Amino acid sequence: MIKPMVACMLLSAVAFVPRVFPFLLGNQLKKSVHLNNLARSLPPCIMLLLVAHALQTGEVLSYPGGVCQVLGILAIIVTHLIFRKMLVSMAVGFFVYQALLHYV
Amino acid sequence: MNPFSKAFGLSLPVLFTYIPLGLVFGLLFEQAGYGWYWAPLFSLFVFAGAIQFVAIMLIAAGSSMLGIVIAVLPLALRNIFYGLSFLDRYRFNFFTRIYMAFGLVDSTYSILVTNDQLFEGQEDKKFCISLTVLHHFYWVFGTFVGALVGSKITVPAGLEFALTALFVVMAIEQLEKSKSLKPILIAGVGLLVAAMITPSYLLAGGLFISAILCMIFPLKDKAVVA
Repeated sequence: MIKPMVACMLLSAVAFVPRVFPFLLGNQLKKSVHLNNLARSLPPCIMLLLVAHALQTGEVLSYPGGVCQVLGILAIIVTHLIFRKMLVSMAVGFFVYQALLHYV
Repeated sequence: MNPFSKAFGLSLPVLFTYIPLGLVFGLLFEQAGYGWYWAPLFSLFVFAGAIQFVAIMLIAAGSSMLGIVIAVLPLALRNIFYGLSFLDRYRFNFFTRIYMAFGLVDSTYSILVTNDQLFEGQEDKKFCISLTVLHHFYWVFGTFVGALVGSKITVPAGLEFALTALFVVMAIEQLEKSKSLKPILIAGVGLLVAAMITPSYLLAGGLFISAILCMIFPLKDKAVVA
């Protein structure tokens, strides 16, 4: 059995190093045009990829779970474009998803 | 509204997701034969759900530590891009900056990068710290409860959709800020290529490919609201 202390320290390092890496190179990164472009352009791509990742994790192609997720997301998009209230949009989408999941 | 209250309100979808996921992780860890206290310690010092879940499954399957590190490395590397958006914003003392960098997980990143104009100066720092600490607390607390009493609790199905909902709203806001459909094309191409090359690590692969495309086809500076 793997020693938990060893596993904890190693995994902590594995998680920690990539997150702190940009801050260690901060000043050099700021001088780079490419990395400045990246800092400006990447956030919306990251958000879209996180949505895709969340859908994949929830097996978007499965039925009915996947269909419920897609419809829940559509409900969020429509609500947010109309009302522009983050928590309202999320609540509507969440309840649409739960209602479809439990009653369809 | 004060920064902590705003951070708490924005963190609610994460609360609904991290608590049940933490419960499951705590339960899995305890079932793997470790003492109940190890699960919350892992959550405290690793704070990475994907890494922790993969690790505990491989530990339970008898994998070596080297095999586990190799398996989780792509999951960890995707976070290397997150700090780029916070180099100027995270102006804290050394130790606080280290903790804040450590706390840049998916949910914290998505909320902070989208809500970067709610506060300024010291209030923004309090907002960032509050959100990071809240998310960290939810994860550790959920794991702690899961490890102690997880087998006696039934987690309602579908709670994790709260996090998906958060990401969708953040994506909409980020796309509107960018005033461009380019991110959709870039993310789409990144995902397609990653599905062919790194299907087991779709997010990490998609991120790296999208990063390359973002450097080649960046958003125009004036297109982004500062």
